[in-house]
Amino acid sequence: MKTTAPLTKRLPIIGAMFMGAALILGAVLWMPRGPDLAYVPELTQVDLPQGKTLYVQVHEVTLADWNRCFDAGACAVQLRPPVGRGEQLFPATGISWIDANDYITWINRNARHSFRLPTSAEWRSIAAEVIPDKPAPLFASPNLDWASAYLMEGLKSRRLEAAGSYSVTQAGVADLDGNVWEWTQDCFNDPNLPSDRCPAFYVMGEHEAVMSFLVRDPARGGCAVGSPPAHLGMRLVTDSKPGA
Amino acid sequence: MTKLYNPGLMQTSRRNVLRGTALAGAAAFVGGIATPAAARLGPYARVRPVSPMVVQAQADAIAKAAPMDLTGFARVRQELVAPPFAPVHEQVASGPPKIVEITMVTEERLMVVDEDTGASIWALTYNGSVPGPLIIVHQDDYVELTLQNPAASQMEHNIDFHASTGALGGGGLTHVFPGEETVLRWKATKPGVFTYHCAPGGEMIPYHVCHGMNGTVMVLPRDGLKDGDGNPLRYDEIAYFGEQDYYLPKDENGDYKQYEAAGDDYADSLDAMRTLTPTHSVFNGAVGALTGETALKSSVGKTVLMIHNQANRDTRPHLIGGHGNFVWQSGKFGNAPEVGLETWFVRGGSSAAALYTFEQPGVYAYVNHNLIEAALLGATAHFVVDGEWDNALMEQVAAPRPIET
Repeated sequence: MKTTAPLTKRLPIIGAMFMGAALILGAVLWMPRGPDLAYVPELTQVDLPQGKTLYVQVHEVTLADWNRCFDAGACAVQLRPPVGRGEQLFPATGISWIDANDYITWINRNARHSFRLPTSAEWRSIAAEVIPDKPAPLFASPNLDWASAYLMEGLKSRRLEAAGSYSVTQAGVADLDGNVWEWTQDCFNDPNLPSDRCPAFYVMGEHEAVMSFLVRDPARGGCAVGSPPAHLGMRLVTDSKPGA
Repeated sequence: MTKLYNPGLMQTSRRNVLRGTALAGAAAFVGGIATPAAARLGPYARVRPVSPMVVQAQADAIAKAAPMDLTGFARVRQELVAPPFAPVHEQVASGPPKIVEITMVTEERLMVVDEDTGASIWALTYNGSVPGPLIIVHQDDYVELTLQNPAASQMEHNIDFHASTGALGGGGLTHVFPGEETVLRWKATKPGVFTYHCAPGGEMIPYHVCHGMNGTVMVLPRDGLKDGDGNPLRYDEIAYFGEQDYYLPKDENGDYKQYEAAGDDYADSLDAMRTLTPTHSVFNGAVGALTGETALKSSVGKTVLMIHNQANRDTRPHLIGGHGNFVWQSGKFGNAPEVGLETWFVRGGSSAAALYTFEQPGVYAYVNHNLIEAALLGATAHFVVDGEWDNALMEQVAAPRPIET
C-alpha cells in the first residue's frame, strides 16, 4: 500500500528545497564575483627588489579613463585635451591628490579589484632604468639645503604630449620619464600620518617633488625653491593580478 | 564705412589713408588696416583728429627748421642684444657727447607665452624679443635709430621714445609700412631709464604695446650713477626685466584661442583688453622665461642693476630674499635714489631701476609682488647666486621638529 506523506510532513522538505534554492540564488546574486575587466586598466608585471611583485598600469590614467569617472558623477572635474590636438590620447592632468583618490575609489568599486597609488620607493624601483641620474645639486652646503633642489639643467619641455610619447621600461611601463608627475601615497616628512591628515605628498617624475594635497596645477615659480612639476597625473598599481 | 576727410593738404595715397596718427591729412580710420578683421569691429570710440591747421603748422615748422650741425660728433655703433642682457657700454662716459647708431627691425612672430598650456601670441616686437632690446647712452648723447619694417609684415609700426622730445616721442616721424625704413635722431636730454614703445595710433597703440612692442632706453649721467650724497654707485651686472601684460582671448571652453597670422586676433584682443585684466603677466615674454635653465646668475659680493620696464600697467617688484639698496622708483637719475626698499613701485608707462649687492648665496625670486600675478600669471624670475652663507645674517637655530611638550 502506498503512503503519501501528508503536506505537513513534506513542508520541511519543501522548505529546505526553497531555502536551498534561495541560498543558491543568493549566492549567484550576492557573492563576490571576479573583477569587471571592462574597468581594469592595461597592466604589466613588475618584479621589485626583495621578491615583491607589483602589477603596474602601462600608461598613466588617460583623459578618456578619467572622464568616465566624471560622467559617472564620481570625479569632480571634466578634463579636456590641449586645444587643436583632441584626436590624440593624453594623460589625465590637472589632478589633485583628492581627485586621484576619488578616481581610485570609483575604479575599485567598478572594477571590483583593489588598485592604489604606488609608494615613492616602489615608483623609484619601477622607473629606475628610465629616470636619468640626478644632476649634482647646485648648492652643497647644508645651509643651502633649502635651495639645493633648484634645477638649472636637464629640464624637459613642459608641453603636454600624448600617452606613449616617452620611454618604455623593459617590463613595459610607459612614460615614467615624461613631464607628468605621478601622485604617490607617501606623506611628506611623516610616513605615519594618516592620509586624511597629511598636508603634502610625494609626486614622482623626472625629479622628486612634494605637492600640497589640494593642488591641481603646479604653478610655475612664485617662491624660489625647486623646479615645480609641469603636470600632475596618476598611475594605478595593484598587488594582485585581476582575474588570477 | 567712414568717410575719408581730405582737406586737400596732401595727395590721398595708401600711406595717409591708413595712417592713424593726427599727422595724416585724412584721419578717418582710427589706426588699423582695412582687413577682414577690422571689418568686424563694433562702434569704438573714435579719436578726434587734430585740426588740419595744426597738423599743417607742425609740418611747416619742421620744414622751416635749420638742420643740426653734426660736425665734431663721433659716431659709435651699438650692437643691441636680446634681453635680459645689456649691450656693451661704459658706466662713466669717456669723451664728449656722441651719436650712437642703432638699428631695430620690427618683427611679427608667433611666440609661446606659456609652455604648460600652449598659450601663444602673434607678438609684435622690436628685434624679435619681448621686451625689445635695452639701449644704453649717456646724457646729451644722440640716438640715431634706423627702424626697418620688413616686407613680410602685416602691419605698420613706429616708435615713441619717452626719453626724447617732440613729434609724439618720435612716433609722428617714424611710421614705417611693410617694406619701409626710416632714420630718426634724438637727443637724450634727461638721465634715467625710459620706456619706448610702438604707437601707430588709436586702438592700435594698446594693441601693439600689449603684443610685446616695448622696451627701455637707459640714459646714464655722464659721470655715472650716484647716491644722494654724490658718492659714485657702480654695478657689475645688469638684469633687464621687461614685464609684459598679455590679454589672450579664450574660446567658450576657456582655452586660449589660436590664430593663423599676426593681426587675426585683433577684434578678440580688443575685447580681452577692455577687461583690463591680463591673462598673463610675464618677464621676458613667457611664463618661466627667466627660471630654471635660463635663470639669472650672480655671486655674493656682486652688484646688479635691476631695470624694470612696464609700458602699460602698474607693477611693484620685490626681490625675495634681498632688497633694493638704491632705488630710482620713478626711474630718473636726476633724483636721489631711495635707500633700503623692500618693494618699489613701477608706474605703468615707465621704467625703474634698483641696485642691489648680493650678501647671501642661494635662489632669489624677482617678482611682481601682486602675488596672484607672480604665481598664477607668470610674473616671476629667478637669480641663482653662489658664494658662502653668512650665519650672522640668518641662521636656522632649530630645524622643523615635533613640538616639544
